[in-house]
This record gives sequence, C-alpha cells and structure tokens, in this order.
Amino acid sequence: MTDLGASAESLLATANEVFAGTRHDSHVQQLQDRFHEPLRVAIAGKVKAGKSTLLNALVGSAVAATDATECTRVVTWYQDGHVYRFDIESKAGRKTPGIFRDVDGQVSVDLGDHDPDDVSRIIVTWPSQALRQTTLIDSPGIGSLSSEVSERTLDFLTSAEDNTPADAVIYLMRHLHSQDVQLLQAFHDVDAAQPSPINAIAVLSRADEVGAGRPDAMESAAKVAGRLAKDPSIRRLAQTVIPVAGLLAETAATLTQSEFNDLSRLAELPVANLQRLLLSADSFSGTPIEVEVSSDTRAELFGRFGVFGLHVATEALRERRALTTASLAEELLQISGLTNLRTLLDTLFVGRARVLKSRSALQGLVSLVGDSEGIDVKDLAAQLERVLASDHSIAELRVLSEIRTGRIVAKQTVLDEMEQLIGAQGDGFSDRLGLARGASNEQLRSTAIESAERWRRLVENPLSSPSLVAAGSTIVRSCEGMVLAVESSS
Amino acid sequence: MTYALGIDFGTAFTAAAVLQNGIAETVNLGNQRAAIPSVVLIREDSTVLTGEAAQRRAITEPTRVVREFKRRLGDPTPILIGGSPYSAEALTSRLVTAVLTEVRQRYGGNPSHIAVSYPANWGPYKTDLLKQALQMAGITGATLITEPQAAAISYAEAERLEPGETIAVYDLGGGTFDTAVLRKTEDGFEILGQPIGIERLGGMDLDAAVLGHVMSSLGDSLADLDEDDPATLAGFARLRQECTAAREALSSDTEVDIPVVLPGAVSEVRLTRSELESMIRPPLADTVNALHQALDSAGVTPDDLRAVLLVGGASRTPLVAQLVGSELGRPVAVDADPKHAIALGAAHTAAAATSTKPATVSEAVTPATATEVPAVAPQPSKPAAAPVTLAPANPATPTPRPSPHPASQADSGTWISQNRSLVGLGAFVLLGLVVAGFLATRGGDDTTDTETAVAVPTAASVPVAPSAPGDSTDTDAATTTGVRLPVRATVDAGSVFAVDKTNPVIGTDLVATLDPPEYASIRQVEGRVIGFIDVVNTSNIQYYDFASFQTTNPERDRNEVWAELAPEAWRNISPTVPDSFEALGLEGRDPVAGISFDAADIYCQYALKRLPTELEWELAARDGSIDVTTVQNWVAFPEEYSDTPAGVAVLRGSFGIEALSVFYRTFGDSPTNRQNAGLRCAADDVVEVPRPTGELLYAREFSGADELHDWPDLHDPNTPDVAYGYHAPDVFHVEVRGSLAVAVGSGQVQADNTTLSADVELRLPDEPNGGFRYGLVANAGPTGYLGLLVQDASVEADGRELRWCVVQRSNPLITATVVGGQSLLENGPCELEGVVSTDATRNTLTVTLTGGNATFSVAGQAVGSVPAQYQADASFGFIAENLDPSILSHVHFDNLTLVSS
Repeated sequence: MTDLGASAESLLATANEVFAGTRHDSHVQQLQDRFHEPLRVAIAGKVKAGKSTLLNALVGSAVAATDATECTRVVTWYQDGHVYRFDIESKAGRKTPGIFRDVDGQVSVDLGDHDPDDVSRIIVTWPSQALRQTTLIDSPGIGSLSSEVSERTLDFLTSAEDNTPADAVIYLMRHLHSQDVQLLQAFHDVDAAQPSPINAIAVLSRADEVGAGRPDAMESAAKVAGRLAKDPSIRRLAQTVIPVAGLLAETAATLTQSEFNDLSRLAELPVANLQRLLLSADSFSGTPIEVEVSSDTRAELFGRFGVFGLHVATEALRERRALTTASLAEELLQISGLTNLRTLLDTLFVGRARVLKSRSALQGLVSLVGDSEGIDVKDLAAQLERVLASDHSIAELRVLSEIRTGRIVAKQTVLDEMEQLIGAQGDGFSDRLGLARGASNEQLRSTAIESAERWRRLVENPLSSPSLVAAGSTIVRSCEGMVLAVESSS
Repeated sequence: MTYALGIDFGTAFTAAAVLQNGIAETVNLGNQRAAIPSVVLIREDSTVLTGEAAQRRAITEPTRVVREFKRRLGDPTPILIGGSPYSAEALTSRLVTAVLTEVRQRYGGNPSHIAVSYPANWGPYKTDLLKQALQMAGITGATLITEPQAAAISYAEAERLEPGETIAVYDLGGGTFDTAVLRKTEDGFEILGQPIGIERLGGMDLDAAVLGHVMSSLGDSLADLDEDDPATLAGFARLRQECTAAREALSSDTEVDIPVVLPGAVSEVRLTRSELESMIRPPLADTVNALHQALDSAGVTPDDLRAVLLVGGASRTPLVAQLVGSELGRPVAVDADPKHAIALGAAHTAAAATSTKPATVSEAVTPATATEVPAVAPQPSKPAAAPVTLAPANPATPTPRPSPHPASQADSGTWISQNRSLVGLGAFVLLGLVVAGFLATRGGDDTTDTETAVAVPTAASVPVAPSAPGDSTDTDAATTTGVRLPVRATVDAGSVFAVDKTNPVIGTDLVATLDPPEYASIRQVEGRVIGFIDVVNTSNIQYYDFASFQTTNPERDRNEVWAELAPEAWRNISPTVPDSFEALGLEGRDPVAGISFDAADIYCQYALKRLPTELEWELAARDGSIDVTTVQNWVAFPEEYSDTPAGVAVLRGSFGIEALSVFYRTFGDSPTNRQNAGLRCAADDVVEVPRPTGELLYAREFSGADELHDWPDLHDPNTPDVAYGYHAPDVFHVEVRGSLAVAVGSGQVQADNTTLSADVELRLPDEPNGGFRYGLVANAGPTGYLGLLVQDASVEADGRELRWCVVQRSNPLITATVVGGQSLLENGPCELEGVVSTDATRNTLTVTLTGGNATFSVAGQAVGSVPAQYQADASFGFIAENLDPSILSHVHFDNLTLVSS
C-alpha cells in the first residue's frame, strides 16, 4: 500500500513549484514546515474549564498560568526545545523574545508593553518529554471574559488562512452547554465531509466536582461522561468524552517529596477525623490535629489537591497502595483520569500523527487549489484528487477511532478482527491477516480474498448495524488493497 | 422520434430522464421506482445484474454484490468479486449500459445526445474516469454537467431566473449530501465558491435512525436473533424496507406504525413525525452548517439568494425545508420531483447540446473491451441477438377461470359484495416463448404497489413446447402456453416453456435465480386478477360464531359437533355463551389457532368462500399482501402438487417463534386438530353490489367486528333478551329472545324522496320457521313508523317463499333508539301482506318514500304501496320480532343504505 505521508510530501513539493512566486507561496511553505513538525493538539474550552490546569498536567510542569492572566487571553503554543524561552508573535508576524516571571513557584509570562490585541500568539519553548511528539496549543477561553477573546479563539480554531491550525483537538467541558457544541462544531466545519470526528476528543474536566469531592466522584463523573458521549450533538463532534480531575492530575504530575511526607502523616489520622476535617478548607487548615502538619502546609495541600484529591491520596497511603512519591503520583494520575487521557492521545493522535498531519496537509492543498484563479493547477489538482481517492489510511484511522470509542455496534470478536485487519495489531500484511510472519504471497492473497468475501457478506447482512456496514465497507477495501499489493509484489 | 437523454448516476440510486418534443419526463428504469439502485451483482458465471435485479439477489449472493461504487471511482485498488478485480469505472459502465438498454427499448433507437451529471467537487481526475466509464458503455462525446448545475437548470425551466441571480442547491440524496451556490449566467449557471459535501449522510442514514428506533423499542426480544437464519435475514431485510417506507410516509403523515415480523418478535412500532424529527435533527443541522459554509466560500449572504432549491429524495422530509428556511430566512423551493431534478436537468442539457455536439452511442456495446476488467465476460446474449421473440398476446388464450356469478350470490366460491378485507391476487398470464428471462411487468395497473416481477418456471418442471426458440410465429405453441406464474420463479437459459393451468413450481425451493438485465418480454405479459384472499386470518370470534352455529344442527349431537370443530383449548368452553373464549385469555380479533383441515374447509363453505389454493396463498404471501407468520394456514387439498402424500393436507406459513414465513410448508392429517394451524379463505370473484343512484345519505356495509359501533344500536341494558353483534363472515347479527327488537339509525333526514334498503338474511334455511319476522323500519318519528317485514314461509327446502307484511305503528312504540319487550300481536294487523318466491336466503328489502306514498319491494320485486305521511327528521333502521315469545329469532343484516332520490 502506498504511504499517504510520502504522497503528501511529494504533493507538497509539487505545490511548492506550482505556487512559487504566487500569493500562495508562503502558505505552501507553512504547510511544508508543519508537515515536519510535531503534531499540533489544541486544548479548547470555555473559560474556567480548566484548560491551563490540564495543560500543566500533560506537560508535567506548571508552565501555563492558571489564573486569568495574559496567557489565558492569548493563544499560547507550547513546544519542545532545549531551553526555556518564550516569544511573542505580533499580528504582523514579528517575533520578540519575552521574559518569564516566577511568582511563588508559578511560572508566568510577561507581555511587557505589548498590546494583547496586537499579539497573534505566544510561543513557549519548554524542554519536556510530553512536548517532543506533540505541540500543545492553549486557546483563550470562550465565554464570559470578553466577546473579543472568544472571537479570537473561534478565529483561531476555524481560521481559513492556515486551514486547520491544529491537527487534533482536546475539548474541555464542565457539562454540556450549547456553547460547547457550537465551538466543537466550529472546529469541525473544516471537515464537514466526515461527520465522524477522528481528531477530537472531549474531556469532562473538573470531574472531581461532579460528585462534590466525594471519594466516588470519579465514578459519578464517568457516568456523566458516558451520557455526554452518547448525546447525538456531542457524538458527531468528538470521538469520546472522558472524565479528568484536572486539579488532581496537575498536582500528581508535579507531586513533591514533602507533599508525600505530609500526606503520609495525615493518612495516619483516623478516617472519621479526616473526613470531618475535609468538610471545608477552614476546618482542614484550622482544626488542631495530632499529627505534625502545620496549618499553613495544610492550607497549601488543600489548594493543591482539593477535597477529592486529599480523600483519594490519604486513602491510597492508608491502604498502602502507594509507598513512594512516584507510586503515589502514578496512582493519583490513574485516579484522576490523566493516564487514560494520555493513552487515548497516544493511540488516537500521536500513534497516527503521520496520517493526521498528511490529512491536514492535503486539506490545506485542497483549499489552495480551490482558490487558485490565475494559476495553472490542473495537474496538481488531478494528482491531489488521485491521492485523496487512493488513500485508505484515513478511512482506516476513522474506523479505528470508531472501534476504540465504542461507536460500532458489533460483537467483540467482529471488532477484534476489524482492528486486526486495519493494522491496529501490526501493520504487516501477515499481522493484519492473522497469519504467521513470512507467510507466502499465495497464502496472503487467498486469505485476503477470503476476508474480503466474509466482510462483504457481513456488510450485506440485513442484521448488521449501520455503523458496522459503514466500517465493514472500509474493511473490505482494506482487504482488496492487500490483495492488490501482494499481487503486484509477486 | 429523436430524444435527448440525461443520466443522474448517484451513489445510492441512478435515474434517467428524456426530453422529447420539448417535454421532459423521467424514465421508469425500475419496476417499483423510476430510479434504480446503483448496485451491480456479478454472478459466478460472469452474468451481470444491475439495479433492482441485483438488489433482489443481494440477499442470496451477498459476496457478489457491489454498491456505492461511485465512492470508489478514482481508487486504483480494484473491487474484488469472487477474487476477480473490477474497477469502479467498469461497474459504472455496466450500470449505464443497463440504463441505456432500457431507454433505447422504450424510446426506440439511440438518443440524439446524452448528458451525465457528476458531483460538483470532482476534479479533472474523476471526471476523466467518468468519461472512460461512459466510453466503455459505448458512449462517446457525452456532455458532463455537475449535479447542482443540472438541478438548477431543471429549476429554471419552471421559474424564470435573471442572469446574475443566485440560488443555492441543497441536495440530500440516498447516500450523500451536497450543497453549492450557483449564479445564473446568460446561458446557464456557474458555481460560486466551494461546493460542500458530506460523504455519509443521506436517506440511508435517516432510515438507520428509524431502524434504531424500532430496535430500541423492541429491546430484549431481539437479543437472540440468529444472524444466519434465512427467515431472520428475510424478516430483517423487510423491516429495513418498512423503515424506509415509514420515513417516506412521514413526509405526509404525522405518525406511522412500522410492522415488525421477526422470529420471536411480531409487533408494531409506532413512530411519530416529531420523534423522527428529533432523531434526524442533528444530522440535518450538519447539512445546514454545510450550506452556510458553501455560502461563506461563495461570498454570498442568505439575503442574496433568490431561493434555496431542495433536491434529492430525502429532502422531501418536511423538517428539511423547515430547518433550511428558518436558518436562512430565504424561500425554500422544493422541486416538484426532487428525486429526479438532476436527471431532468441533465436531459435539458443534453437537448441543448444536441445541435452543437452530437454524442454517439456505438451499436454494439462491448464492455469486454474494458481492458482493466478482464473478469467481466461479454454477456451471453443481447436482446437484439437473442431469440426472445414472443407470439402476439392472444386474448382468447388465458387460462379459463370460472365465470363470475353475480346473479347467484350464494354460490360457493363467489364472494358477495365488495369487501375490503379481501385482497386481489395478481397473477400473470404469459403467452408465448421466453428465453432465459426474468420478466418484469410494466404498465398495467400502476396503482398497485405489489411486486409485479414474474419469471417463468424451471425447464424441468414444464413440458417443453415443440417449437424452437425464435419460432415466433408458431401460434399453436402460443395457444397452449398460457401459464399462471407465481410472483417469482426460475427458468433455465434457453428454455422454452409451455404450461397450462397452474404453475407447479411451489414450495421451499422456489427462489428466483435468473435476471438478465434485458426486459424484452415485458409487453407480452398480461397481469390479471385470478382470485381473492382474506387479508386477515379467520379470527377467534368469527370461528366461535361458526362453530357455535354448527352445534345447533338438530340432526347431530351438539357435543360431538363441538368436539370436531373447536380447537383443543376450547373443549371446555361453552358453545352457547358468546365470547366465552375470552375466559381462555383469547382476544376476539386474534387469529383462531388449533383447528383441523376439515374444520377449516367447512368454515370456508359456511362463509360462502373456499380455502385458498397453495398457489393463491403463495402469491399473496410473496407480494406481502398477507401476514404469514402469525398462524399457519391450511390450504386447499393439494391436487396440483405431486410431492404431497395422498390424503394429507398442506399447511403454509409460520407462527411467531419459528417464523419461516413464506417458504415454510408442512403437512397434516386432514381430520386432526393441529396446534398453531388457522386459516383464511379465498374466493374466485368479487361481485360488486350496484349502489342505488342519488345522494347517499347513509351507507353501512358491514365488514367486521370493528364496525359494530357504526350500526344502529340495539343494545339496551334493560332488555337482555336482545343480543346483537358481528357474525361471520361479515354481517350484523341480531337475536331476539323476547318478542320485539327495533333499532333505528341516525336520524335527521327528511323522509320524503328517500329510498331505504338493506340485505337481510335468515340463517336457518332448512328449518321453515314461522315464529318470527324481520325487516326494515322507515319514516320513524314522533308519530310512529313504517315497517316492511318478511317471514320465512317456505314449505320446501328448494325454492323459498317469504311472507311479507307492511305495518304502520304509532307512537310511543319508538321513543328511543331501542324498543324491546312489546308484543307485536297487540299492535294491530298488517296493512298489506303477501308472498314472494326467491331462491336465496339473503334478499334485499327496499322502502321508497315518494309522492305521498311508501312503496315496498322484496328481492327486487315490488310488492305494493301505502299512503304515508312523511316525517321531518325521520329515523330509519331495522326490526326483528318474535311471534312466539318462547323462541329465539336469529337474523342478519348488511348493506343498510339510505339514498335521497
């Protein structure tokens, strides 16, 4: 099978020649640059949805300001680099280095005398494992701050200039709100041709608040998320909705040894006492207790963990599920839902980055070709059309995301075979067809033909669900592609 | 006659239209719809089926069918069928060839020019491939036009548009959605901005929502469905069709009941329009967003639009026009024929191009030259070359059938009066020779929606006529080859068939197997009705009434008769207490089950009908006229079928759990009651009872228990001696145990110049009974009423005599709608009386009030008249009275009619 990435790359090169010296010259350059950069994942949501908190949790450092400072009013890009630095890019495209400010251990950026309205974006360079494969984009909250800020985010998400500025999006919501739907829609309008989103997931942020901080808060949140994911208006816009307790995730990602020590001492308190303490922030910090954790420390802990975080952290220590700082951090990341989010990001976005980026590049080219009066793009258009018509990896990616997010109604064995055939268990033909490595071409060919027939039968079965029929047609095409590839190689 | 052809090759459906003599019309490419499914099926022997034929066969040959191949156009990976590769272009060419063949046959010769539409977002690569596909179908030089442009051209034919005006086209088809903004130019339309499409959003998705609704309503009962069970698959395929039909019906209806007939789940699911709308609102909202995007990219605001043109079959959904209209605040133009707007526009385009740029259609379509597609062999024969010459239809030849008996209404096998609980059985009398053909009827009765495709039986099952294929003038062969065909049957390629009377191919193995895409024989097939069959199974109440009545035979022991006729479960209920089966938890309307063949046979005779033949049953089952899964049905003794053991009766159909539906066939001893066995009756003919002329003031033709409430009400809680109700087969039953019952219908008519009539029937033909009389009540009001009464006075069984009597009774006899308990004898003598002879148990009584007189007739004979004072606001109805209060009178009424002359 031809590699979509290679096709996209060669098309970009062709486009570079075709558009050289035209008004689209720089646009093609941007598309090309972007193709070689890490995947761009935007974090979007309404004001106070917990975007910066989640970003910190994902990066593992408190890089993003969580208060409504300038950063949360301007689009901020977080990318990997060797040194800490940040640049302010003006609307005219001019970059000026900026200065970090460190206030009480919280890093923030100072725009100096830049007018926020003239700033196009802030680029934060931050050495981080998490940013090596993805560039995270923090967008200003939509909603109450000011309509201007909201507009800036909408502009950013739906910008026609660069087509899709992000390859994928994580959308944060606290509960279902019409503005959420609108925003998600805005993001997806750029890809109206495909109603099932392959590049968006929604996060029910501040999930611990769903259950008012009770220890079972995450279970309640999971239920709410499940309901949201089934809501038709969300379903068409995001692959899935997962609950994340943002504050706990951020804290867990940056957990310190002294916090571990303090929590261990608190965990020695009788459960009933601790629960009484946790009724309010004041009672937690103000009530005299038998263990040696000062009132100020307790107040800090309360701010860092929240009621829910303190409940689950002390419980984990008391039940000796976590014996070290690292294992507690891991436990808390797990509980907070961040581990789950990271896994999903890896499988749905990072693991398929090349396809997603190719898709972005091809979309960018389609829009350039569509706006090409006075430029001869006929050959390029035909090549582009051929690449899009021949490509099957985007369709397979779509099916994979549909399987992983439970959108396809079918038996588990059917879903398993589907995953295998589209290469989720290994991309080689023998892996896809469930044959031993080194199977002969004839074996591969006949097995692929058999699979195609079996899936065609399934697609035609009146009992198959509509979702299965659509996905099954993709599987048939996958098998047909393998037959062709085997035949042309032998 | 020259004509121009437009073809709309869609993802889900393909349509065609022609323009001839300046008139554009769609071409009926299919039997059921004008558009055919864009489906191709390639059989193992490389025979290619397209459209409806391919669709039909898909369920039995699922691995060989390809649909939605338009999406694959441009994909270098070929489509595999049976391991052989086919390109989407090749499949497209097969479909276009089929369309062209059909059109050529209908319009004679090649079109002067052809235009083919394609999606507006296709670029040079895909349009090139489309041209190649057309070339493979023998078409060169066709005009290609984008779908929205074609739709706009069609719209501009009806609405005048000035150059510079813009419209938006909103195209919601079967499988895809497309929208574009267009500006009228001097000579056509140009597309502004980017057309926007949504790849998997169309009628199919809306249907899927309906199916989802049904599935969730049925819930657990579907948990155990067997995916490999043919009955389940067939049931589900049908359910999908029902969902589509329901979705389409909701375009005009506000609610619809979707029948579900699946193993383990026989039910109905209601769907209201508002429920449907809430399900499809999210996807439709996407379409409106796409429309906004298209407008944005065109730099056009909604206010600039002259109109939004809705095309595509699914755009008929009322919510579409509502959403689009309210979102854009612009007038929405729903094309009169949204499904075919694009094909019609393409036809106009083709006509316009005719003079300038003739397209050529090569004589011999040679798909084998499609080098990319080695596996598609040329078809064995084409219509022009094949010996499909049929003898001219000979109207004298059709299978003789019993002539109707309108004069002798009580003859067994003739159904009396038009009755909506019967369905006509379509069959086809086919004359002549056919070579390997699946025949489809066209023309004829366009109003019927039933499956009308027929084929001929297998060669093995039919005697072969002495004529050779192609020997078309052999009229001897033709005159002996009338054959009644079931809806579908098989024929071997090249066979000549000749069968008379009935087709013997019946049973479990009857599946259509041959459908060449040619429809050469179409006009030689003549559809006709061969009989009628009850739509519903005989119900518990009908059967109880029957069995109960049989126990009154004085010559036989009541218990013995009951034991013979009653289902096993009924043995311990009383044959004399009406509706006593309800104590068993049975509903009156539900089908009776658990009876023997012999009892079923007697029932039909009693109902003045007969058991259906197996052929009739199968015809009705196959075209879906009857429900075949509730109870099994006894069918008439299977004389025609050799595979039935002697003395054994046949049961067809299934019952809930097993649900093998149409194909299930089993046997039983004729006298033995059989669990789950019920029946329905058939008749050869339906005799329409002529209606009196004049304005119909009141007409009640009794045809089922449901209609009791429409009839004059006899019920009076204070007179328990009067009983009334439904009587099989379909009459209004009245019983009087006391002395007198009078029922009057709705009043407020001026009695002058009216004619009242009703059919009345005495159900004890062999027992002359002078004990009671019955008849009509006319001119009933404050001053009394007129009664025309008859009384059985027969002395011999054959040739009946009715003693008739006219009474004028005064107030206060009728003070309400019900009067009971009065003694007739105290109420004076007859005004007039006499005797008429008749040979029927059922006769029409008439009272005409005109010119100051009341004139009476019995069984069509005028019997006399009396002067009468007409009353304003008069009522009318019927009467039954006992002369001997110790007996039970028992009489039936039907067709109560009041006409103003």
